[in-house]
Amino acid sequence: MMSASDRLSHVLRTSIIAVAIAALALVVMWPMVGSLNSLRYLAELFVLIGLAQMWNLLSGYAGMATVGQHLFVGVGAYSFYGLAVLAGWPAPLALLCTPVLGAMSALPAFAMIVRLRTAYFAIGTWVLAESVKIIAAKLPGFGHGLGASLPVPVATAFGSSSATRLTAIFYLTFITATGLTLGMAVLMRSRIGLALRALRDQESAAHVFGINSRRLRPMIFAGVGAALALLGALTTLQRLRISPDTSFSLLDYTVNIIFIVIIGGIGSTAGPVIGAVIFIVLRESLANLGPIYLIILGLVAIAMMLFEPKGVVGLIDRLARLSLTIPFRRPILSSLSNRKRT
Amino acid sequence: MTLLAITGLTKRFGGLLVFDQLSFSLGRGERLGVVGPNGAGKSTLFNLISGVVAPNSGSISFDGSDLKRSDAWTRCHLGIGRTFQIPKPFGDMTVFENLMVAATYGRGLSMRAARAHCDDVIAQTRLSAKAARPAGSLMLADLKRLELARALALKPKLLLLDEIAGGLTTAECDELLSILDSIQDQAISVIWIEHVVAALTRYVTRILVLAQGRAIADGSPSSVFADPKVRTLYLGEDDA
Repeated sequence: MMSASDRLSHVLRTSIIAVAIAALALVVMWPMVGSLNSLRYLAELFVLIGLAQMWNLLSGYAGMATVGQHLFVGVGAYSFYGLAVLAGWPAPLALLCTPVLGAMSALPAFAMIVRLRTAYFAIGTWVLAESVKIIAAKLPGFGHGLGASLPVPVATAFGSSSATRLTAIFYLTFITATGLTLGMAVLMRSRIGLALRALRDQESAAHVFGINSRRLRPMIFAGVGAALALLGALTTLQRLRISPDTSFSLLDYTVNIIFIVIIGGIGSTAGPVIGAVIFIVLRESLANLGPIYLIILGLVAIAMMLFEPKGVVGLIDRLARLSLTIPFRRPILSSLSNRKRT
Repeated sequence: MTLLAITGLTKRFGGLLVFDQLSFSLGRGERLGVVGPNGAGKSTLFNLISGVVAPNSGSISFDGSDLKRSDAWTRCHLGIGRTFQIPKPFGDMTVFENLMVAATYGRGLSMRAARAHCDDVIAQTRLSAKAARPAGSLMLADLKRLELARALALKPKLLLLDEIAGGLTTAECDELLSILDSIQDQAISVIWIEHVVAALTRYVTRILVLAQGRAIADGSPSSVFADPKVRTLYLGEDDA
């Protein structure tokens, strides 16, 4: 016999799956019906979702809060430019190689800040990102401080008209964001998810219970570096140019992303998706207010932190008692109710 | 058969000599109680065995392997499980997830096998009603029980209990002892540090007394507490 709460969660789960399938169909069909502008906004939304998932992975789950994630976004942008333009590789191949370079740059970066914890770790990532941005401005062949545009053959590699190009970018960013979101859901339900949260909550106890943080932390950091680099390369394809200030943008790839995760719900897989949608909607509806819009964003974030630290997901959780946050709640509840019945 | 052998263990914190050439060994299935005044280094002993701190000299061998250069996680994989005197739960995770960490990473079980195993340990340690609660929201008695449950989820060969009866009421202490008695058939060795001697002597078969960095007495509970050196230490009286 199903209890009322079991039945409720069953209904909710079924409806979530139905909504997800409908949304997937809509997204796949969208380029045929939507305007070019909508494709542009949605592609940007997908990139934001991906960036937010990665910041949430490091800060919300792994206890490695960074303010330097623009480092790997920039590395991705510059790697893509280096491979596709300077080395003359085919653009799709260059795109596929950016995660490798992102992961390779993440390991030495991690080695430099491995001994830092909490706020010091965050500041370390920031300093590192700003240093690499300055190095990027000195690199020959990348246009120094002004940056460089993608030459026409690279810019048109994914489509010669803007309609086909935007459609290709739309699908690429959609696949990346969906992959990262599903990947996060799977990861956090796995033993690695348990280990990351244990390390975050109580590092010395985690060691005593068998978790080798010396292997796990660099692995996660490299994975995040890879994903961020791919997102950086996709952003370069969208914007058609690189420059130290835009490719390594603290505001676009770190500050706004922190806002997104805090609003949506830190430590939850759904949070970054919800937060990214809210961010885009707020930004577009407040855009004509000028700089005041940043103040409003800040106030919203502060209010959220004070009244619901778990973001919109926390609000939903509180209202509906539906957990998108804790992966093991349902199995525990069912195992307990099994025991009660027998 | 010896499970744990500690030889010439010396540990200094700056100018403070915590252990001076400490040696003792523990047999398989043996239950050893460790007592001593505050500051005698009891918790440091567990930190040395579990790899949280490193000794200045001396050796610890466990189940035939030398632990000298092993990290805490390696010692866990070899079969050393411990509790912390001041509970250290994974606070934002549920009680059940706390055990899952030990079962998957410590014991190496698959997620599926770990879930079944943790359900058993939760029932055994009578934490079922709290399994889905965040560990950080528990009261002291339940936190102590969670410490025990998490260590048991490892299925350790050696279980190190650090004052798990401290601060408990008599009823809670009795319940703890009955949980400990329920695991007696698993042939695990236990070292239990405790100030609540009444609880300790109901469980252990041997007692080691630490004072000033040395073992001043080692033997059956009755012989140890009859020892003049121990009586002096605890009661301040001189039998001479």
